[in-house]
Amino acid sequence: MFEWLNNSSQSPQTNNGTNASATIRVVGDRASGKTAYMAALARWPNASVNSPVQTIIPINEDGETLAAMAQNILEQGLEMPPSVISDNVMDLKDYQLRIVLKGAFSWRSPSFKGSAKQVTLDINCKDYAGEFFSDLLNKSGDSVLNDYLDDCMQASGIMLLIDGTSRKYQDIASSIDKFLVALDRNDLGGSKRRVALVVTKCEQPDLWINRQRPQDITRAISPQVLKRLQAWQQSGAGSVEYFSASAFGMLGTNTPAPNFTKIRASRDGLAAVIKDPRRWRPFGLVAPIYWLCTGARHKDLDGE
Amino acid sequence: MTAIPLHIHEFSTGINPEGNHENWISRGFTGQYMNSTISEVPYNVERSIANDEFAVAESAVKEKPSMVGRVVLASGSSGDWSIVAVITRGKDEYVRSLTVARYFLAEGADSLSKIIAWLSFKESQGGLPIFNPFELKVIDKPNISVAPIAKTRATPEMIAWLAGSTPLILPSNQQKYPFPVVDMIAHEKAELTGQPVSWAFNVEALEKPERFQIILPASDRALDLIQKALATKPKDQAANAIDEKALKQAIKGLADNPTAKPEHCQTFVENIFVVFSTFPTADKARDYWQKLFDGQGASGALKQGIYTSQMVRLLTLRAIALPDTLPELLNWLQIDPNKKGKSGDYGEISLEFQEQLLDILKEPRLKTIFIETTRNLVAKVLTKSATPESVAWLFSSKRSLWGKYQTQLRTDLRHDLEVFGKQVRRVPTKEKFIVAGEGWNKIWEQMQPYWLGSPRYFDEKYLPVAELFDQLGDSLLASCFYQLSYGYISSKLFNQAFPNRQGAVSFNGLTIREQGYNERGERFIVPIPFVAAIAAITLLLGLGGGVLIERLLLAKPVVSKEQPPQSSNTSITPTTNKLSSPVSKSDPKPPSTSISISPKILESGLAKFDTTRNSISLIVRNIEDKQKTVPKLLIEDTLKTELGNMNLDFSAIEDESFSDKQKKEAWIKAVYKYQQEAGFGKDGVIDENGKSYKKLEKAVTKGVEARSQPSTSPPENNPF
Repeated sequence: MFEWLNNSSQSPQTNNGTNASATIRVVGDRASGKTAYMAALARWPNASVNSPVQTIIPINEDGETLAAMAQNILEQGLEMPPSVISDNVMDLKDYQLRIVLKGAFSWRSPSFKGSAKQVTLDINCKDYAGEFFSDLLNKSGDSVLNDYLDDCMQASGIMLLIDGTSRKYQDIASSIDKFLVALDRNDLGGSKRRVALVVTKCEQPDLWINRQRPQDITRAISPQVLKRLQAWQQSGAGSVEYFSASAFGMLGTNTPAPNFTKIRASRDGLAAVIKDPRRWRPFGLVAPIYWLCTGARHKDLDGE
Repeated sequence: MTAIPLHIHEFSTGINPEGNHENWISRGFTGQYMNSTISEVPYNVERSIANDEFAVAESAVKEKPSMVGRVVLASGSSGDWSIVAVITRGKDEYVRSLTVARYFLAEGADSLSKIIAWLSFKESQGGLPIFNPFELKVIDKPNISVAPIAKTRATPEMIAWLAGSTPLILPSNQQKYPFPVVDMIAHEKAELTGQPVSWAFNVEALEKPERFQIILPASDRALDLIQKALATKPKDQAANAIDEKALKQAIKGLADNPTAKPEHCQTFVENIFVVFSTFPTADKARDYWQKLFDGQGASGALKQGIYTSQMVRLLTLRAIALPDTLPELLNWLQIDPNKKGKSGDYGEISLEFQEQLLDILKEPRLKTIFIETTRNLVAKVLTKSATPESVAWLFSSKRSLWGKYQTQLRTDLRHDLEVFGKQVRRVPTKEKFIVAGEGWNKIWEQMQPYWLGSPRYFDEKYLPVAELFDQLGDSLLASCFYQLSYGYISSKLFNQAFPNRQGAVSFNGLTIREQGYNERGERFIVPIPFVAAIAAITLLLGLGGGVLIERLLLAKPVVSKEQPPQSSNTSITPTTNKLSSPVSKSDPKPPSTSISISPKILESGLAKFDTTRNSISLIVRNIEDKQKTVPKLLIEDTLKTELGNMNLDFSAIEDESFSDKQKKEAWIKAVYKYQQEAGFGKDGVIDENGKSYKKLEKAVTKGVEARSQPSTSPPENNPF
C-alpha cells in the first residue's frame, strides 16, 4: 500500500512547500523523441523568466548523464543516437530529476492542495529503446520483452510519446493496444495508473498551431489510438490525459519558426537537429510530468 | 616452423538490417548478439563488455575503425580469454548514427597477439573484417588462423614511455603506431604493471578510460578529451576488480522494487566483503561506497529532502554497507512515534524493506557487522548524533535488521557494566569488555568519576541513553543511566528495577538512589509550604533570584519539587541542575563563564605557569599517595570542581611543552577567581608555599574523601 502512496503521491513537505513524486516509464516508437525529451528536460536550457518552472536538478549520475547528453549532442547541433536496447532491463538508466515549480504560479491549479507554495516534483524515469514498442507487435512470450513489461508495471505513470510527424499510425495503434493489455495484467494495489499521451515534435508548424488541443492532434494523427485510449480509461483501468511538447522549441516569439534543421523526412517521421542552440527553449515538457505526479493539470505549464 | 592453428570465435552487435553487404541500414537493435560462432558468450567476456570495457563513446568513421584489445582472466567456469573488438559506425532509417562492434575472441591469455596477427593478415588481404550484418556465421565454426606473430621490437622511445603513468596515452599518430604496435607496447606495459593486457586504438572517447593500460587517441582533440576525462577518474585502479555494473544493478534493483529479489541481495552482500577486501584501506573502501551511493542519488536525497520509497530503500542499503550512516538514515526518516503521517510512512517503508532482507541476508559475516552497528548506535545516542526515539523505534521492531540484535546488545552491556564496576573499584577481574571500540572506550573512561562519585556526581549527558533503555523497557540499564544523569531515579523505575528494595541500592559500585530518599536509603521529606514559599520567591525575584534559589536548592541533597525521571515513553525535562558538567550537589560551584581579568595578570600568570603547574601536580600526587584506591581522574575532577571549571585541561599541567595558550589561560583565570572568592591576593598563580595552595589541597582532599567513601546503602543487589 505504501508503495503506491509514495510512488505517486502528494505528501506534505516540511520546508514550506508541497512535494509530489512519480515513477515514470517513457515508451514510444523508435525515433519518437524519447531520449531528446528527457535530455532537454534535464538540461532545461534558456528558461523563460515567465516559466512556472524554477529549476530542474539531476539527482543521480544517470540524471547527470542525461544533462551531459543534451549539452554534448543536442546543443552541438547533433542528432541523438538511437538508444541501445539491452537484453537486461536492469541495464537501463534510471533518470532521477527534481523539478521545482515557482510557488506564485501554482495558485491557478486549485485542485492540487497546497499549491500556493513552492511545488517540487521528484521523478524516477526510465526511457525504453523504441525497439520495446515495436517488439510488442512482433514478439510475444519473449523473456526479455516480459522483463521490460514487468519493469513497466512498477511505474505509477506512463508517458506514451507519439511522433506528431510520423505516418505509421496503424503500427502505433496496434502497439498501444498490446501495451495496454499488458498493463492491465497487473494492478497497482487498487490505485489507478496514469498514462500521459504526449505528441512530440510539436515545433512543426501544423502541430504548433494546434498545440493547445493535444487531444484533437491525437485524433488527427490516429483516431484508433485515441479510441483505444478512451476505451481503456472508460474500462476503469486508469486515466489518460493528452499533451503536446517539443524538445527543440521555437525561434522567437513574434513570428515563431521551429528551431530545427531537417535531416530527413519520410513516412517514418522527421529527423532533425537543433538549428540555433543559443535560442534553444523546449516547451510542454513539464506539463505531463506534473499531471503524472499530481493527477491535476497545471494551466501555466499547459500554456507554455 | 608451422604455427598451431588458432580458433578465433566471433560475434557482433545485433541489429535488424536492411540492404546488402555493401550498403545497409539498421531498423533497430535486437538486444542480442548476431553472426556468432559461439553459442554463448563466456561469462567473464560478457561482464567485461557489460562494465563498458569495450565501450567507445564516439567511434571513428567506417574507413578507420576503432579497436579495443584486452585479456580477461578466468572467472567462475570461464577460462582466460583474449578479445579484440573492431568498432565502426552505421546508420538507421532515421539517419541516426549508431555504433556497432564485431568481437573476435580466442581462449587463453596469450592469444591476443595471435588474433592481432590474423587481423593484420586479413587487413593486408583486402581489409580489416568489420561489422557486416549480412556476413552470416555458423555456431561452432570459428575462424582458423595460422598467421605468425610479427616480430616487432619496442624502440628506446617506447621503452622510455612505458615507465610513465597508467593508462599511457600515445601520440595520436596511427601511421607511426598501427594497432599491432599498440598491442606490442601494451604487452610490454602489462609486463611492467602485472595487469592483464588492455589497449584502445584510434578512439575519440572511452566510457572507462581508466580501465586501459595503453590508449591511442584518434586525434589531438580526442587526446585532450581523454586526458580531461582521466583527470576526473580515481587514480586507484583497485576498483577495476569490482563488477560495478552488477553491483549497481543489484542496488538499483533493490531500491526500485517493492519486492526484493534474492539474486540482487546476494550480489549486494557479496560486494560488501569484496569492496572491503579490494581496497588497501577501510577509508578508501568507504569512499568507494559513498561515491557509489551518491551516484544513485543518496546525497541528493539527503540534501534536497527527497522522500520517495526508492530513496528510503537506497539509504537503508547504504546504512547496511556503510554502518556509520545509520544515524543519518534515522535522522532523515524523522522518526517520531507520536506523529503519524509522512515520517511514519517512510519509516514503515524502511521497515518493510528490512523485513524482506531479514529472510535473505543470512550471511554469517553480516551478523558481526549488525552487532557492531547496534553498539555504535548507542554510542551515537550518547553523542546526540542519533535520537533515543529513533533508535528505540529501530530496535523495537521485529522487522528491523538491527532490532534482532538489541537483546544481545543489552545483555552485553549489563555484563560490561559489571566488569566496569569491578574495574573502577579495583576489584580483580579477568573479564573484559564486550562492547568496546573507539567510541565505547571513551565512554567507559569518562564514566568512571560519575560511577564512583554516585549519587552525588552526575551529568545530564547520559540522559539520551537512559531514555533509550527506558523506551526499550530495560529498567535496569535505564536506572543506571538515569542515575548517572540526575543523581536519582523515579520511584516507579526503582521499583521496577529493584522490586524488593527501597531507598537506594548499589549496583556494582553505582549508588542508585530512589527519588525522595538519600543515598543511605533514608526518606527525605520537604514540607509542601517550603516548596510553595520557594516557588513564590522565585516568581518574585525573577531570574537573578532564580540563580539564588537554584543554589539554595542545590545545597539540599534531595528536593521533592524536582521533576522525577519517568519510566514512560515521554521525554524528561528536569527542572533543576541543568549544569552540563558534573557538579556535586553538596558543593555547588557554578561553572565559570566570563571572568574579567587584566591582560597584565594573564601575562604574568603565563610567565609563572610552571609554578602553578608544579603546585597542581603536587596536590594531585599528594592525594594519590594518601588515597591509594582513588582513581586519579576522580582527584582531577574534584580539583576542577573546586576551581569551578570542569573544562580545565589537565594536559596543560602534565605536559611541560604544552603550547595551547588559551587552555593555560583558562587555568590562570580559574585560579584568579578562586583566589578572589577566598579573599586572597589575586595573581592567578598557585605557589606551593601560598595560601591558595593550602586551601585548594585541603578542599580537594576533603572532596575526594567524600566521594570515595564506601556506600552505606544496602548490600549489592546483583540482578544476574
